Amino acid sequence: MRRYKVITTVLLSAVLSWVLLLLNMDALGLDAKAQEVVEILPLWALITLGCHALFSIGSSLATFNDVPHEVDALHEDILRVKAALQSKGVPLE
Amino acid sequence: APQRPPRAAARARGRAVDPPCTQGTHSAANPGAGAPEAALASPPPLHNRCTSSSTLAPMAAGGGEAPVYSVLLPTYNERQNLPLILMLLSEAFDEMGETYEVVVIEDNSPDGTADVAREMQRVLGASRVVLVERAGKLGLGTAYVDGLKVARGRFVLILDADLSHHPKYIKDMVRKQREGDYDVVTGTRYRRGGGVAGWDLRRKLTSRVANYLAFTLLNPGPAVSDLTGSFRLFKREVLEQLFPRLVSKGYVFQMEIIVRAAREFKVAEVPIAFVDRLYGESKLGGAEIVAYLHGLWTIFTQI
Repeated sequence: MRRYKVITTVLLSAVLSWVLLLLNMDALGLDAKAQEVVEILPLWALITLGCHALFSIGSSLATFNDVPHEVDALHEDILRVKAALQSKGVPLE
Repeated sequence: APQRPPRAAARARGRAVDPPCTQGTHSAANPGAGAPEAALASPPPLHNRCTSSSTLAPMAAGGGEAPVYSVLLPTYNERQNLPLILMLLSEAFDEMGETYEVVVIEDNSPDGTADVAREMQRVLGASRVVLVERAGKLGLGTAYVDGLKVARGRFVLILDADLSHHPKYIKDMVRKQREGDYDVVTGTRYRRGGGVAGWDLRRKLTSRVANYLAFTLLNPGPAVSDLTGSFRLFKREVLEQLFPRLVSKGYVFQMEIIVRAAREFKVAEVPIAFVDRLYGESKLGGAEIVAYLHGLWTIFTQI
């Protein structure tokens, strides 16, 4: 099965399981505390996902490698190459 | 699960593809020995695996020896940058002592880029600068397909024509490719040694969010860290096999290429510095973001 089909199947199953659990909490004999947990589960999952994204994006931003010196290096190369072109008779703007 | 062709399965186990010989020469010592046997008998020169002893480059149908490396360079309104990038490319390959050609795919730019390309043919030689002129802006993906049709090299490089990719990294890519006989070597801005010049925080954030989304949805594996980059070296047959299967429209096809390649071929990365547009503004508006998300979703559901 294709990857996205696996993912959507898993997601849908999870949602369905949660709904069934929510509707049958009393029948299954869950105490009040467990019921609170079930109710809050999707929100918790979403926030956990958000935290993971926040951490991942934040740390990659923090370690983002700026290379300003490459601009100067490129400028130098451009000047050198322009001089070479002019010596070969290429009209430059 | 879809049946994977034997080559792809081999790739998954980490073995590299032998590039097919463009010429059917064998060493005199073992006539009839195929290229793989010759390769096993004695380590061939890494850039010519067809013959273990000869240094002849394969002959091309159009006459003249075919270069080893072909650079595909789609251009649109790059009148200022084209001579510069061509000179930098020629410097890079001359330093390495490698034969090359640059296939300029020109989409009828109003600023006369094609004339500049012809001028550069005079300077560098018509065998080094090949000009493919197209009727108009037909898209980046088709530009590469058209360029590949005329390219004669065993290896194909792609990079941007606006000087954001510096040809000085080509030697790193070539060296990396030879190290492990990789099928694809891609430049990464996000590993140590790589980087970006000229991005503000907002642009960096956009890039990192885009990457996070792409990695979460597509899961390309540990070999790649930069999915949206477009400075890459391919064995020719990798592109020949992948191009017909691409489904993306627009620039996200770059992402689709590398994701598919990471699954089926041996991929390595080299760090590169990306200098964002020296001349002109880099466009990243709402339309581009929507196009990216749509493209990402297309790839996600097609892979």
